[in-house]
Amino acid sequence: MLELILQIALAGLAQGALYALVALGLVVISNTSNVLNFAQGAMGMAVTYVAWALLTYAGAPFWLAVGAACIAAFAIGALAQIVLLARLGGASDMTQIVLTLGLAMLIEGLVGLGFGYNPRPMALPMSMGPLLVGPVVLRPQDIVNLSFLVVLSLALAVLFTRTSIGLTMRSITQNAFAARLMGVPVERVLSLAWGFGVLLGGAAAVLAAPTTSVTPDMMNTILIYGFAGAIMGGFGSLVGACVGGLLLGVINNFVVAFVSPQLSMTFIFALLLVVLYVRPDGLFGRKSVRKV
Amino acid sequence: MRRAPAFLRVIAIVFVAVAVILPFALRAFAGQREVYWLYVVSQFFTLAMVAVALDLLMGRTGQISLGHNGFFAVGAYTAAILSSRYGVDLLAAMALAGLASAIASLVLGFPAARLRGHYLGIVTFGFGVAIDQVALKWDALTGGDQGLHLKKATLAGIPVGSPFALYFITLAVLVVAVFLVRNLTHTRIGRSFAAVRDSEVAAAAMGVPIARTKVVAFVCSAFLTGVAGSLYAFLAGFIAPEDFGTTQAMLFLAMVVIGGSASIPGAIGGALVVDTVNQAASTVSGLSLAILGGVIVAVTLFFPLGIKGLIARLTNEDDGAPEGSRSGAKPVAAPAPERPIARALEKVGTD
Amino acid sequence: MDVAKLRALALASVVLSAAAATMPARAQQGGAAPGGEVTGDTIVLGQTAAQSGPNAPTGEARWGLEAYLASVNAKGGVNGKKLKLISYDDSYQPAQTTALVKKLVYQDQVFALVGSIGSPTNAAVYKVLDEAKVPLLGMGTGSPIFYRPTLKYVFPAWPLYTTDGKTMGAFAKQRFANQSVAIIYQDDAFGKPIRDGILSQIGKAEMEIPYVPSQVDFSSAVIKMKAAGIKVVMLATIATSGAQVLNQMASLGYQPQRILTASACGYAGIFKTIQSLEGTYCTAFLPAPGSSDPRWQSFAKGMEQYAAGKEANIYAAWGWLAGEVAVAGLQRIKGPVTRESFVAALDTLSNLDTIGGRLSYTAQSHDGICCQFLWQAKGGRWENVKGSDFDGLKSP
Repeated sequence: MLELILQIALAGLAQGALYALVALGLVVISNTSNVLNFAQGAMGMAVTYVAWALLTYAGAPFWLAVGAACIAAFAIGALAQIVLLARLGGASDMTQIVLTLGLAMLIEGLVGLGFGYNPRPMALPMSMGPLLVGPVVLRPQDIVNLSFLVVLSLALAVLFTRTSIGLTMRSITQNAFAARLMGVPVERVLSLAWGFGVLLGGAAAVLAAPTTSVTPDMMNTILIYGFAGAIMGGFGSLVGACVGGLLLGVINNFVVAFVSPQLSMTFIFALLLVVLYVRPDGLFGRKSVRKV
Repeated sequence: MRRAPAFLRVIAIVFVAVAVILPFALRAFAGQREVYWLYVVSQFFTLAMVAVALDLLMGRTGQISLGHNGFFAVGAYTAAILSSRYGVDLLAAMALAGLASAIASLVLGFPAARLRGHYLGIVTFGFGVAIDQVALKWDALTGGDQGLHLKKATLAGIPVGSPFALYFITLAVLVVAVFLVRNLTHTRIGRSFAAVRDSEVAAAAMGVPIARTKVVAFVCSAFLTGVAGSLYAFLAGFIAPEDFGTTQAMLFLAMVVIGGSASIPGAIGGALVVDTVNQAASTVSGLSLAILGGVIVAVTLFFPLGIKGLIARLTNEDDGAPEGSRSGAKPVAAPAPERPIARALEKVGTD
Repeated sequence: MDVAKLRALALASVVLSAAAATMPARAQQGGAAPGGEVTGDTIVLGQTAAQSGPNAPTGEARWGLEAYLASVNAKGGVNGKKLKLISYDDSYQPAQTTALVKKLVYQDQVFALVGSIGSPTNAAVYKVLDEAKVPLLGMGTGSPIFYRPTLKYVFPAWPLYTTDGKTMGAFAKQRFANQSVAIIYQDDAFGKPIRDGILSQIGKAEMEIPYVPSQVDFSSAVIKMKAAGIKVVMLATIATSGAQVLNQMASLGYQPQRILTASACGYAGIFKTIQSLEGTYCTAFLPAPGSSDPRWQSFAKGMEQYAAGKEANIYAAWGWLAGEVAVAGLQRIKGPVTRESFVAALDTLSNLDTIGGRLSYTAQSHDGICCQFLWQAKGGRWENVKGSDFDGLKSP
């Protein structure tokens, strides 16, 4: 029984790493530009197709394809911000959210049209089989997911605390108007933020691909969990996004295994309500002060 | 009561007139084809009702709801269960459906009252997902994925299930709903909605009960949405959980945003645009998602103030400061010279 | 407009509506739908299938149906009349199906609905069509609601999902008797009848694991089965979920006997998508894609000729099957081509040889194709398993 629980928890952590990556991306974008990027999943999916195409048609090595996908994701994110979101500067947040929703539909629709919905394979090039660590089986997938999360979070942490770009982004989060007054090139920095945010989403999608196969709607469920994880952790906090995503992965796996697979999301959102009732800014969110 | 601008008054009269004449014209000129068109337009009326209800919540009270498909589903299922099991008549089913949705919104509204912005949006989204899952799982009540077939609609014993009759009933309900919402916005409650939207802190300082106001807004919006859901169910004759998925939540949102916030004609116009594109896209096979997404992107990009902004431009009216929902610091906005305290003072006045 | 006038307007519209609502409608409700008799030289058929969204692959049935109808037209049509198809994309949303079927019946005035795909989608419209006396045939579903009770105007062609499950169960009983069994099934009108069919043959299963299509992570299910030492895993799943389960099993190094239901196997590229598919069994009523079975060969040729550019896969074969049923019925009509004579003709079909096997209808039973068999994955392709025809497994 203990083995079963450990195994389920581990698998949940590995899946949660994906939710955490998505949540991180959402939080980076939302903190700087105050927009919920509902197209996060679709953009990640689109670059996964890029990776798949490189793998299948150009015979590229796996990690090269993944790298290309990440670069493509960055580009798409930055582009989206420059071409679309920037035009909406003054519009309400709702309008911007609906724009990203429309974008998500458009991307999924076009990819579906071009590639169809038949699942495409994308396997990890790991010749090693599952590892036995004590009573628990560690799949190569688990290791990759968790490593990616650790590496990318560390990279983000370094970015935000030690580089000028990161500090600039944080200044925009605190007070965009003041930042602008101080001469910060807000637009440019926003596109960078979007680039990083979507890159994280792209990484999540590419990591999910070996499990879900590559389909135009592969990220839809993961995106929802990503949102939930970001909320649970508190939108203002990167640590929160990580923790929220991982926690959600574990909880979800337990709910699916022992309670009810059909009501998994219901349970998650009920949990979310409870957490938010106790801490309205999420587990790690800072209390936001609202001025008149 | 504030008089609506002349332009809008004319539009309203024309709209109702056309809507009333349409079925007769169809019957005369289109023969049997009218069954299809009556159905499509009737469904549009129910969607327009949801758009108006959602706009009441989002545009006028500033509360984001990404889960209105949940209220729609609760209304539709209430009506379907009552009709298929107990043969309940249309009016009772509508009322009970609205009530059920209102109660559901209380479950959501109380915790939601403490949340804002993104948090509220995602929690409401989760609500929509949860309702969908419960509808699927609780098959003893809802028929699960097999769905529910409704009995033909009756009103005090008289069968009104024909496309013709249902069309007029749906139209009448829409008109009444619009009328109610319009009146509501000019009452003290309506003004407290706007106060909450513009500045919660100022409103609270003025003595507006914030949490209660938000809940009331949710309840009103959910009630109307539930009634719309019940009509939808009777029109379609069959409902299944697939009909109330997240796509529907997104469509509702798109309707309101395309319409422009805090505008009834905008909301109805937004519903018209989205519904038309949705229906048209399904005849062009394979492209429906792309077309829908493309239209939404295009409209929000080029008409960010929505149809309401368009109307304002056409009638050369000053639509004032953007009445969008507030949910945090905008990255590029200068501090708005809106004097929210003063405005709150104006609105939450003596009655 | 002041308060009084607004109130008057609202009142007027309500009163007008109430009056109009109680007006007797002119013979629309329950009356004969248009298009009931074909007087010209074209028989127009209608179809709804998903062409977009996650279920879009199933919509490829449209091309198989188009191809079959074109092949019939090339030989002169049916009794001198040509066949035409109007197909709409309902994205697998029952609400869309309802609207589009109304369009097909009242706007396009089709003669019959053929080869519409999906369980919830067809469920939304089959009763209405039966009441309106519009034939609905060859649907892409095996859900028991379309077979029991038998409806006069509804003619499903597939074996019931329950029969599918019975075939899986009977095969397991025959080959893997007394070994522990787990059933992973989709918790809806598709997966549950299959599970019931399996259980009717094997009695009970050690584990029954329901899931919903939106689930992407099956690790906990697979872990549980492996921990319990399950020897035979039966999957009543759709293609994407089935692929995920099998891949999870491979990644954990877990290799039980695997039996899949037909819907999980039919797509091209399955051998690349699923690692270690070798040895897996799959129920079927259609011949294995790419097999030397002459029925598949003539279908593939027909697709090449009349639907160039469209893949000759299992989904297109669904449409081809629906076309065969429709045309067989139409050919047997003597006299005026009406919906009544069409239905009567269909009820005379006995052991019709279709791409999916032998099909029969009587006035009392519209059970369609009787029997199924199994494929096995061998050397990167599917092969029919000898001795796996389980006749007599029809539902009572």
